[in-house]
Order: sequence, then structure tokens, then C-alpha cells
Amino acid sequence: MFQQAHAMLPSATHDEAAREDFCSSLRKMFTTELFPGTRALYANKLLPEFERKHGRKPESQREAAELMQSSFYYRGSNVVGRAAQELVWDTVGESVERQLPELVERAKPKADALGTVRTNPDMAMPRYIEAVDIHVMPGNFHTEIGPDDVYAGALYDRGVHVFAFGGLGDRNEQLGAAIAAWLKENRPDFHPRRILDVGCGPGFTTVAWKEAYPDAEVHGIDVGAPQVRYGHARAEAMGTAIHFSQQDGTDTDFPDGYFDLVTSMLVTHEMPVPMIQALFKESHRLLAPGGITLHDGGADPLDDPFDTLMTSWFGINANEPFSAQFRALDFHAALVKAGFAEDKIFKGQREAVYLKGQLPPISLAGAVKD
Amino acid sequence: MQETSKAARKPRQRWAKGQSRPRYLQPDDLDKMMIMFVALLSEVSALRDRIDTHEAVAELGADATTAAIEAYELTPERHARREAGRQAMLTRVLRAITEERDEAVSETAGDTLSELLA
Repeated sequence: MFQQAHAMLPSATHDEAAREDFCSSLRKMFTTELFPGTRALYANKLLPEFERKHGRKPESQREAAELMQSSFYYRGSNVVGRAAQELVWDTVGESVERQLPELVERAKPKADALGTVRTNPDMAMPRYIEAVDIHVMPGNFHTEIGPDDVYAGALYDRGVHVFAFGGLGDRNEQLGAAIAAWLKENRPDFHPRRILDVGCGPGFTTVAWKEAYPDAEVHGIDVGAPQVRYGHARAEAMGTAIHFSQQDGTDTDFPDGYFDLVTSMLVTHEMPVPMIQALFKESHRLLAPGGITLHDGGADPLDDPFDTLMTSWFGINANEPFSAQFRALDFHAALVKAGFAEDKIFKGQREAVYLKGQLPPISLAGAVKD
Repeated sequence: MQETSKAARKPRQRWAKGQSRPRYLQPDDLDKMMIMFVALLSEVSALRDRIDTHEAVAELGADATTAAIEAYELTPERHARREAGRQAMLTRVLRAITEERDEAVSETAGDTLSELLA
């Protein structure tokens, strides 16, 4: 329910907390009532009407979208969902901005730190990062609004908890915990010495990986300097030794074969396919023999255009322009193209960590390096 | 006496002669109005929470000063009660949107019922 406090977590005044609570309630209403209601309306009314008229189901996503657009329920609930999406970032952003000078001060690396942090002001920002504010989060993950800035990291830590109404865990750790648990269950003899978490953001998954494999040297990289600065301070506040650096996962400065595990979570669906391909290639370069690369994705494409429309909600309404291509990507072929052997590629699945039964299971795809 | 003076007076004029009111909004503005409407709901909800904190502070026997309201630590029980209240408010406010869904679902339930009765 409440987010677990740590030294870096933004505080909230009475009214800031009240507005954030409203955002969570609205997101909950949208996610658990309005959005699934679309399915009920389609099944009980719109589809039968369409079938009576045309003698068949909608055949394309466009036809399904036109049918849904004829309903005020669909139009009205979607604008409420979009409003919630915008309101989360604006509400949390106002609170973070108010206390930003303190947060920046608190985030500065300490001499007795367990882990490290490196930023790279000369890093060329990928065009797809600069072009789109993912999730309609103004400034995206990387924009810096001052020296030693941590704004986007703090915004994401608090914002994700508000957005998911706590469903990703009281430290937003559940997705990371789920993918790490899958690996431990399916590869019980795998003991990575070094782990790289790509697109780590504030380190939700990175901390989870360190907790799953406490003896491993764990690195988190992100294109956003505010993410790795905040992620470092957050991990330190949690007593977790992690090495953060500002890097693009398609072109890192680590030596060949340095890692036993190169992984990402909820990152590839925000990347254009050529960038995903480049990430897999870089993962192959970075892995030692026997090392594993593991990412979410690779779910089987849906047959029904209405189902496809439903899974495209964030693509259409929340600035995830690359997610449709991602869903169509053949992960097996992409991993082979990146250099992994045909017979070393695997798939996995784990049930959703929240809204079970409503969200699809988490699909995982990966490969072992020869 | 009062009635006489009321009868002698015309009601105040509530519209202005001259140019008609300009047309302001365009169809696309509706979406922005909805964004504003939802933001305003957030303000109403925050105000409701603030009143609830006044009540909570009073129940603790303290004066509801600004400092006391800021210092109040929300209990899980009260948080859950507020959450239920917010969901109920949203259910009321969004009825014009949800009635189409609710009607479709209840019609189907009605079909099932008539099938059962047949």
C-alpha cells in the first residue's frame, strides 16, 4: 500500500500525497474497471451487433478500432485513461521539483559507498530517446534540468508506485524479482559472477538481481544520467552494492566476455527493432561462454484484431510508438542474427506480478552463449 | 409592503445586449476539457482528504492547525477508507461513461434470465 521509505524517496506534503493517492485511485479504476469493461462491452454488445450486420468478426485492427470508436464508453474511458497517465507525472513531478535541491544533495556519492556511479556527458543520446517522451512522461528518462540532476529518477521511482497503485511492490521490485526467480528456478546451476542490467532506470530490477545473486558483481546501465545518479543513491540507501553507469546498451564500454548475465526488463518494448537487434548483438559480445542473455518479450502474436487492439493501449494512448513492432518481432530470429546458436535459444513465461488474470503472463526470451 | 415593492421592480437583466457571445471552443477542445475535468477531480479529492485529516486530528484531541495537518500520519485503516471513498466518487462521477457497459452486461444477464425462464 505505502511505498517503502528510503533515504532518496521524495517526501510529500499533505496535499501532494492526497493528489498522488487520487492518481492511484484513478489508475486503479481505469485498469480494473474501465479497461476490462471494454472487453465486456465488446463481447456482449458490439461484437454481436457487428456479426449480425456483417456475418463475421472484425478482420483487421482498423476494423476493430472503428467498431470500438463508435462507442462512447470506449472513447470516454480512453480519455480518462489518458488523463490519468498525464496526471500521474504532473502530480508527482510538482512534488519532486519542490524538493529537488535536497534530493540532488542527498544523491551525491559518498566516500564510503558500497557501489559506484559514472555519468558520461559526452554520450551521444540515441535519437529514439530524444524524440519521444515514453509513457507521456515529460522529459523522458534522460533529460537533465540542472547540475547533478536526479529529477527523472526520483519522478520514476515515486511515479511508478503511484501509477501501479503499489502493484509492483513496495520497492517497485516485483518485476525484477519475478524474472530473477524464473532464472533461478529454470537454471538452478547457473551462478553468474557478473550481471549487467540494461535500461535499469532507478534500479528496480537491478536491486532485485543483486538480492537474487548476492555474490555477483551487479552493474546497471541507463541512457539517463538522472536515472543512474538516483539509482546509485537509492541502492546505497537500501544497503545494496551496485555499479551504475550512464551508457547505451547497444554500445557499452565493458570488455568482451565480461558478463555471465546480460538482461533487461520492460526495456525492449520501448526500443525500435534495429536497436533491439543491436542490444542483442552487444549482449552476445559482452557474454562469457556459457553466459545467458534474458529479456522480457517474444510473446506469440495474437490472432484476433480486437485482442491486438486491447494490447495496443499504451502504444496508442501513452507514447509507446515502438511497441507494435516489438510485439511482431521474432525474438528467436533476432537472437540468431545477433550470433547466438539456434539450439541455445529459449523461451519462458511467468504469471503477471499484479492484476493477475487481467494482464497477460510475462513472456521471457533468451539465449545461452556457446 | 414588501410584496408591493417587489411587484414594482423588474427582475435584474442577466444577459447583455449587443454583440453575441463569440464562439470559443472547437470540437477538438473537448479532449482538453476532459483532461482539465479529471485534474479538477484530483483537487476535489485532495480537498476531501484534507477535511478527513481535520477530522482525524480532532479525533486525536488536537487542534487542526496547518502544522498538525502536515504532521498527521495516515493510518492504513484510514487510507483504505479514503480509497473506498474515492472509488465510490469515481463510480458516481463516471456514470455517464459506464452506463453503456453496465446496460450491455445487464442485457446479457437478462437474456440468460429469459433463457432460464423459457
